[in-house]
Amino acid sequence: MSETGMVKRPLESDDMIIDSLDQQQRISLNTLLSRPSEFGNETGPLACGEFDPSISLQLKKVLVVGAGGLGCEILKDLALSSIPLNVHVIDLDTIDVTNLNRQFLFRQKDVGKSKAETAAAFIQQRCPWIQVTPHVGKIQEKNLDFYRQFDVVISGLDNIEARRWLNATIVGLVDTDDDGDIDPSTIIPIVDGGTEGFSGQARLILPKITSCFECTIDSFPPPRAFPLCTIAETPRRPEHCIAYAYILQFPREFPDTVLDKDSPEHLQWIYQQAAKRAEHYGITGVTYMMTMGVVKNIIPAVASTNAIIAAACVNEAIKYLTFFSQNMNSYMMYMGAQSIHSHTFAYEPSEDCPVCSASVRKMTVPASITLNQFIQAHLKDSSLRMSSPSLVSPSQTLYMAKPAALELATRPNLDKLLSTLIQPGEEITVTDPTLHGIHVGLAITFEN
Amino acid sequence: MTDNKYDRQLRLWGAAGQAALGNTCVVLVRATAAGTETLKNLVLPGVGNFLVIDDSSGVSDCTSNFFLDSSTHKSRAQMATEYLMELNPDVTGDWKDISGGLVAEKFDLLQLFPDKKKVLVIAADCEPPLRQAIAQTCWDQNVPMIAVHSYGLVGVVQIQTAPLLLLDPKMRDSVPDLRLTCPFPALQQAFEENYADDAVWAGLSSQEFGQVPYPFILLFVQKKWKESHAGGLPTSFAEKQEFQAEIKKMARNYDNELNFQQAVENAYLAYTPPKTVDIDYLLSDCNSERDLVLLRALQSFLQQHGGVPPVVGKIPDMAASTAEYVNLQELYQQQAKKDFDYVRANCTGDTSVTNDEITLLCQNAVHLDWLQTGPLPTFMGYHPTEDVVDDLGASEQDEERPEQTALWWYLGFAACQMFWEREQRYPGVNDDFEKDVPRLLECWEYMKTAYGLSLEDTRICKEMARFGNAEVHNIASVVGGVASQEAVKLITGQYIPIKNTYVFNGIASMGGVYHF
Repeated sequence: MSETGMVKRPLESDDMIIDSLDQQQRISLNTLLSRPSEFGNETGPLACGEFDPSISLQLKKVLVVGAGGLGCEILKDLALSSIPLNVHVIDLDTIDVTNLNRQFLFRQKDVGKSKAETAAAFIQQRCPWIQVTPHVGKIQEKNLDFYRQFDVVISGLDNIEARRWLNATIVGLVDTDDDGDIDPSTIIPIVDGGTEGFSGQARLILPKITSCFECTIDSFPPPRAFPLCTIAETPRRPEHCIAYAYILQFPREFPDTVLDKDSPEHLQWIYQQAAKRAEHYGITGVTYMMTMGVVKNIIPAVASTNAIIAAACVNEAIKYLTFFSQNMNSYMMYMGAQSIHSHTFAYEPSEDCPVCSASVRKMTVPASITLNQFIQAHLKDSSLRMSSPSLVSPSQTLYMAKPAALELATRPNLDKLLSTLIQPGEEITVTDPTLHGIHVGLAITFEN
Repeated sequence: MTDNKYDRQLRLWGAAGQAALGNTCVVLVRATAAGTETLKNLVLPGVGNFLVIDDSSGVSDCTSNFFLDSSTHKSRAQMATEYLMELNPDVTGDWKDISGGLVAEKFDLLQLFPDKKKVLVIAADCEPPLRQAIAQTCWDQNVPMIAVHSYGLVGVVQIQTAPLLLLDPKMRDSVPDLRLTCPFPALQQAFEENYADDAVWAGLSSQEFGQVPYPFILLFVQKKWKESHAGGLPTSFAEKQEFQAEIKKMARNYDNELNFQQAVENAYLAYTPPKTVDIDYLLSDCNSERDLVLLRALQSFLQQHGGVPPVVGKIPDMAASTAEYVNLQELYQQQAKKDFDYVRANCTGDTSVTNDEITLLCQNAVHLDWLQTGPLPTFMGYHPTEDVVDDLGASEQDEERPEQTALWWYLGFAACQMFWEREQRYPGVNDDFEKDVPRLLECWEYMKTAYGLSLEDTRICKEMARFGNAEVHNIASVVGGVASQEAVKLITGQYIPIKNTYVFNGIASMGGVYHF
């Protein structure tokens, strides 16, 4: 829930209008909030509220997830939106020199420091009218009450698993009463942005109303690894030689050392081994830069794309918080390498989304399947992409991945036939760390 | 070998692109939010140096501009320059405060930089006479220019440049250049020596059989097909299906032979000839000496090689043994080198043409195109060409919600600029903003007619009047991102710049590229 109460407005530049042509100050967004519009939020394709130019704004609370390429831009955009905001930012990472080409709240002297703390301090200093509270740590370490306090969440995460967790958590906060009606006061929108090179996307997720992140995970296929036989026996490209050095050779030669992908020494070793292998096979093209790229799965990144996507995200957030204009419905794609192609469309929710749809998934499986085979084939390696699921039925606990004592106690069930563990017509409930707080219902039928 | 702070962007434009950035001076006229955001996104990646030109200003608008603060003893130009320089110690910045205001007549861009070749000008939120004065100077002096505007919830980015031959579009080629319909001699020879007979195939071990690269499979099936089809290749859909079936029949254990599956997937390469180059179009209207040298050399190549372009030389990964793949790749690389040498030998005239340029010409021959932005569009009195009118007429428009179409918002923006030309101020800047709507509608009607468009909707003008040229940071940041992205393309000569306008409608979060 948001705090009520007024906050002192920042210096209002159009309070002092200078007559001469070249010195007249431009109006700010603040003035637009008091001017009626034919395009208020209620007129849009995704109506969230009604614009009333006569009411003054109350303080809103915003959570920014990630203080990197998108996060720095998002914080700046929020600070310069001239509406009263209390901002929190969370990031577990520290600053690296390769961040400096775009994460502009950081300087050379900040390398090694916390991103969240450094970003918050910089914004506070440049924009003293706004409050920014940093949190150093994983999003998974915060409880539901932490997330409940925000009016909107803006996410600039750089990996799918974290997005899935955040999405499941926020969507999970929506209360539905026994009649199936949603309590709108429990809806917290997520504005989610992502970039890669000259491309990116910005989307508005209204939990239980628009598609959520989980609805669309098929459009983010898991990264394709090179086949092991190619790496081990028939390398052809320089990338294969690098993969061999870090996947096979390194663990063999240093069985007691965990590979540190940020260690220059480890990367140098991998590069040299890869270069030797390449030379042996007559393959050219292995470079240190390519080595880093393959081992760390580096995605090219520039300031301009991050600026565009972050600003589009904050634009949607501000429109949601003030209703002063329409919200987009609901997904904008942007491709800027060959001319510019941008496409905004309503991404339909997936009917059987485990996170935002209430439906029970129907599955048909062979009668001979064991619990463990079921977990591997139908929960982990399937479109559900779960990481370590736990299963219960109304009559018993089938398998608990955690805590250790329960895991040990339920482990014997893994080798039993699934058909012996479920009564006919029983619905199984599955939970998974990736889909925090979500209970997925399964109705299983056995063939023959 | 230590981590380079530019690592993540070098993976997009390489050392050559980075060097071009480092050799460029960006001149920003007006340190508005859109202007400083554009410049920020060029300082961060390491542009060589920059110059900020602005009015003296009593009160700064620091609440929408990250590079200004509320102090009043420094000019806006100086303040912005100092904050921008903080972003990157590699970059030097300078500033010029024009007291008395930036007006067209007092403005002489040429004075400011002697070496015009390496300059790019950004004109931020400049009103029509100033914008036009800058554009004219840049056009006459062959300096690329980008005009950027943030106007309420509408953003506009327009580029103006002399005609550019796009040598390095960085197209992600989905069609590999394998030449299977017209094998070069070395490829043909390798095929005939190793894979042209049934007996050879039959003699391969099962491991060897599954590791023959698919181009040889396709050449073999193609050879057989020609023998039984009077030298012809599959043309109809049925024939192509049959051709693919022949590939499957040839396999011993198709489900486990990835090379044969890849052969089926890529079967079209065996009967689809490579793209041609419209060299006449490329040569027409070419005025630059360097481009003429390159294109004429390409023309000679095409004439000597039956219209077939130089071999690209890069092949995709495919199921094969190491030796087979490396040898096959070598064939293509050697041919590419031969073709490069031929083209280079034919580059007569301008000796400043570099090997890198010739390489790009050869590798991108089928994708080559010109970027003709034309001069920056004006407003009152503007007469667009027939091509522009035709293009716009064919533009995509949203049927259900026409107001979402970015094109209409450019028209609204253009109407506001024309309003300025008539009234010496923007509509809606005063509290009684609705009073300006009727006169703005007149300007809207004029611009609509000039562009040959029709939309009966007064809401857009009402909203533009409501905006009153408001500076909304988020919109400034979007166009600042787009403008800097386009600037990087122009500076590095890589990727494909827009022709010539990007419009962002921040109401619907929809953008569009239009040629005005």
